[in-house]
Amino acid sequence: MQGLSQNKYQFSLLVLVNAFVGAMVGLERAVIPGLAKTVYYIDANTAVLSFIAAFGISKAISNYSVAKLTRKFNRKTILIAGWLFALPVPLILMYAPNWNWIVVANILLGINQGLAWSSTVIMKIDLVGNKNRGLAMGINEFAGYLSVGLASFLASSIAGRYGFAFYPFLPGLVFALLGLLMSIFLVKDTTHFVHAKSSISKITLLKNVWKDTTWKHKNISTVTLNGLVNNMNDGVVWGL
Amino acid sequence: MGLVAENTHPSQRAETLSIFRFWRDSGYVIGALLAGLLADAFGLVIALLIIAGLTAAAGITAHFRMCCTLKKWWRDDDCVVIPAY
Repeated sequence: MQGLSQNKYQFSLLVLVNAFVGAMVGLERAVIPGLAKTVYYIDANTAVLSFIAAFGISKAISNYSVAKLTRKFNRKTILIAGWLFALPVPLILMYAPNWNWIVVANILLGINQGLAWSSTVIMKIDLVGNKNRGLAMGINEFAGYLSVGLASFLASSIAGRYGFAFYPFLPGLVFALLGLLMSIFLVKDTTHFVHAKSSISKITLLKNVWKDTTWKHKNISTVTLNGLVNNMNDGVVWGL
Repeated sequence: MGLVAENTHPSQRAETLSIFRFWRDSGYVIGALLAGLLADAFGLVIALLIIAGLTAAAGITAHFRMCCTLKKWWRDDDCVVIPAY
């Protein structure tokens, strides 16, 4: 059965898993500029830009690849794959011999964020059905970005006390392990909810999903444009 | 994301959401690069004004292009009404 209250245990679990996804990026976002300056002697602005470019592009492409992957794999498999990409990230950041390794870690982090965040969003939408969809998305983004903030705070506190190298990334190892284990052992796949709904839905199928989502479908493509512009503003503030 | 899901058949939902999220997160990269380029070329104030203009344009586009059953002004006649289950 679909619905928020019918699936509150699985739903809360996915919110928690997504909080760990957010924590991974929050940790890095806070520490990277300082790490660049004090450990690798790289200008903080260059570091931020290379972080945004490497992380942003790989996250965006991973988001898109979820569209293709859902045709072959179930949601839970994609979520687990996302966490597997996260596992080496803190280790690389702790032991990186030069800046190129940090960029590699950012690319892996982007893949983790794209696969894991997208699949938890899709799974939550599967779980709750039509009625509480807006609320479900609100809770998801709230929990995700709250933990981005909390993890940033945690990482900056550790960096303030023990320096930018090694120690701030230790919690990342814990987050990635917990996220992976919870996704393997506790999260249940939700693909069967889609099959149940598909037969009764009256919404017409899109002819070309890429074109419709990007510019053709009046409602969806306009939301896409506004999503892009919204994050563009975040990128502007982050980059300046 | 709720709106994207609402407008899509359940079997295509994972795909529309993923493509939406692809464009949305491309926004980070576009924003950071655009801000840098514009600020270098025209200075910070003009750069921020151009970005504010783009943002306003997106919002106005939403008002004219989107179909909502509760919309009062400029409501399209060929508006796609989302059927209830």
